[in-house]
Amino acid sequence: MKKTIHPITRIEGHADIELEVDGKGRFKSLRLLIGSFRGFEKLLEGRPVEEVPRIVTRICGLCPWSHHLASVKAIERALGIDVPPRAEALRRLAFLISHIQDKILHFFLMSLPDFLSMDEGRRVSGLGEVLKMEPEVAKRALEAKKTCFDLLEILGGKAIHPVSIVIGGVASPPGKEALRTIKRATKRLLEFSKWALSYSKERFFISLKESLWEIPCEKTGFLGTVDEDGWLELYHGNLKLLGPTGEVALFQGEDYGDYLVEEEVDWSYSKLVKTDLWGSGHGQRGIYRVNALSRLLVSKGPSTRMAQGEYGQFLSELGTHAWHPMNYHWARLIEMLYCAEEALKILEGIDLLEGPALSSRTWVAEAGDTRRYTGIGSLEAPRGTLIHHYEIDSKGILRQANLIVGTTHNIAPMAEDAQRIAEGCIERGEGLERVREKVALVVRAHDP
Amino acid sequence: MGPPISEDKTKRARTAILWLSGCAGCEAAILSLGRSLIQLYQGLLMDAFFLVEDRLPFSSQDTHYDYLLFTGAVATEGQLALVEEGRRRSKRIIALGTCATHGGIPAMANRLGLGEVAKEINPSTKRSGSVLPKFLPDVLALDEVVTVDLLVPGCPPSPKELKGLLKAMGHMGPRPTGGKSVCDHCPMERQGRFETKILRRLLPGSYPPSATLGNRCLLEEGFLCLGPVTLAGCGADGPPLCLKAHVPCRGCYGPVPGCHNQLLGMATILSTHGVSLEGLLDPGGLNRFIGAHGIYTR
Ligand code: SF4
Ligand code: SF4
Ligand code: SF4
Repeated sequence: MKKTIHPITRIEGHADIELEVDGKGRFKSLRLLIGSFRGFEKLLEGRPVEEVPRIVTRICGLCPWSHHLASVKAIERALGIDVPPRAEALRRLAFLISHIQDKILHFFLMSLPDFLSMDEGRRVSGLGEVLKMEPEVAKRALEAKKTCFDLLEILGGKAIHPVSIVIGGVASPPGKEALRTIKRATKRLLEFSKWALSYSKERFFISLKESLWEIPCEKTGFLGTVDEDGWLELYHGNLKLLGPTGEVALFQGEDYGDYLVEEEVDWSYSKLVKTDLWGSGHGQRGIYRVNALSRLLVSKGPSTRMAQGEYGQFLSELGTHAWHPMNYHWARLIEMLYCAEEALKILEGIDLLEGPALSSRTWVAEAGDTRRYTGIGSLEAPRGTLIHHYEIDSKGILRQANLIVGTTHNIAPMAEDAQRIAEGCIERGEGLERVREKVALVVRAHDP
Repeated sequence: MGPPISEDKTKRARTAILWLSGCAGCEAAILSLGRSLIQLYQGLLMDAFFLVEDRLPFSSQDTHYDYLLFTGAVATEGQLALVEEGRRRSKRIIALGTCATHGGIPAMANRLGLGEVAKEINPSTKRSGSVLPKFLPDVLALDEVVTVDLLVPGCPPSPKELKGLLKAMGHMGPRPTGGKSVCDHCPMERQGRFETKILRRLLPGSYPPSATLGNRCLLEEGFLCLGPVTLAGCGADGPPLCLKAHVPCRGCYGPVPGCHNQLLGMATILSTHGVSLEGLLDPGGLNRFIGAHGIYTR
């Protein structure tokens, strides 16, 4: 007998659970159904390249910056356009702040009810209750989120669906006054990030850790991005895959096709992504995870002082359980602190008023040129490694696109976890609602 | 938005915010309102709100809403059913964001048909017996499916707009609307003549056009800007957001009243000024935000 359990909420996108039990009510199978589909790869075909970064933002309203930037990077690669250092620094700055905003949303607005539920031993359903139960916390989080929004509007023209990152640079670099505002606000974000960790570490991450690990999840591989010295990197770096038994591959985003394999399934409109780096004998058929926890685990950790200290405590508290997906939240808040520190480093260490903000290169379509130009842009979106792969013709029209979106890497491991969780719940005689709640916990930890 | 829902000012309006085929950016915009969100939120009796509340809509037989907000376009049979059910069970339906009002970016798929698009990207999902949502032949705006009480375009709508909306809902009263174009709010200098008869691209070498960037109307400089045919509002009381950032408008608020097709509107303006339409490399792309309502023929 098959039952479809209705949407998993407090996630971005649409997921249902299809559960099958036999005549005696024993667990048979479970599928996570990923039903969102808009077909961006096709929608981009035929568009002039300069329009693409302003369309792909709509793939996700929570991380439009990731798509905006990955897209511009892919196009610049394909057309051979350099980006002046000032523009790179501004892009990086905006990207870090967009990460902070996403982490606030994800932890405080979408996931906090899960932790309050565990803490209180009763079901806390969402933001409305959080506002009542923890008004000061909510106020701080909403204010910090608004601060990010305002900074992103300065840096991107629009905070949600930015427009000012153009091919070759940045269209409207902030002036002196604006930079001063940004710096002041970023200092507040740093304070907020420190507070966020102190608020949630003892109360949730450490005191609830054992019960979090009880949720049965698969030990998988991990994928993330590292800088040339092996530290955590979000914007420009090499991809690093870490297998469940220590296999390692370090490669450039351009070479993703040699390491990552896309797989179609009939239960998800998104393709799955796996790796063939480790054999099918162990390591769950090439399944790996992405996102904050992965990024920390594949790297040497964050390179900034305070985040590094926090990561040290994370590792010593969690020990051999560090890999467990329910630790994503803690990792996410450490990453938020890293982003704030790193953003301040840019604001304090680089002259953002100096030099051109747009490339001086000229790009013109050449008559008679029939070549196709390939460009691949990768970065670490809040939801995981993001890859935009474009084929562009000599007239500057996009002809083909392949997108690997952060969330898609995590579908395969989440689907495995969901199976195990449901099996356990059904064996213990817990109802469907319990299955839904528990699966949702894990899905939310991944940040879908 | 019609007469007040209730005369009783102390009664909170039962509200749900549900998404269809969109990007969650409208929801993210609501959640970016800062501290003022607390009061607005608590002024309503918020039921289902997929991004931040673990409640399902219409959970009981007698769930009815005073306000039901939909974000996103209607792309699947399931979404169609949800919207129809919503209409039966709500006093006011609000289409929030350009996807809901005009189809938005998801309705770009109407150039090919979403089913076709899916078949090409991921053929496995078309296998018989698939449990995934079934696509409608066309991606639709909300008002193609049910009667809508209020249309709030914008991708996403501005914070001011959202605040005003939530506040008005809290007071259960009507809310004012405007009808000007992006150009009407734009500080760029217009001289009534174009600098070029050939459109320029936003690519290195042709953009930025000159040291005057930031003052002169981008359209008159030869950059396609949809300001004249697009509804104002994105910058609230300030300049339109894209123009403030020195990039042209792409029409995300949908057309100004009196214009149903942003492409035709722009083509007329360009022709009037003797600008060659050959520079329109992707004419259909000018209607990228309004692909519902049968704008694209295939
Ligand atoms: S209108 Fe824009 S912001 Fe809102 S859901 Fe649609 S694409 Fe996202
Ligand atoms: S066409 Fe564009 S740049 Fe010119 S006035 Fe209108 S909105 Fe401003
Ligand atoms: S200027 Fe145009 S495209 Fe930009 S936000 Fe405003 S309406 Fe949307």
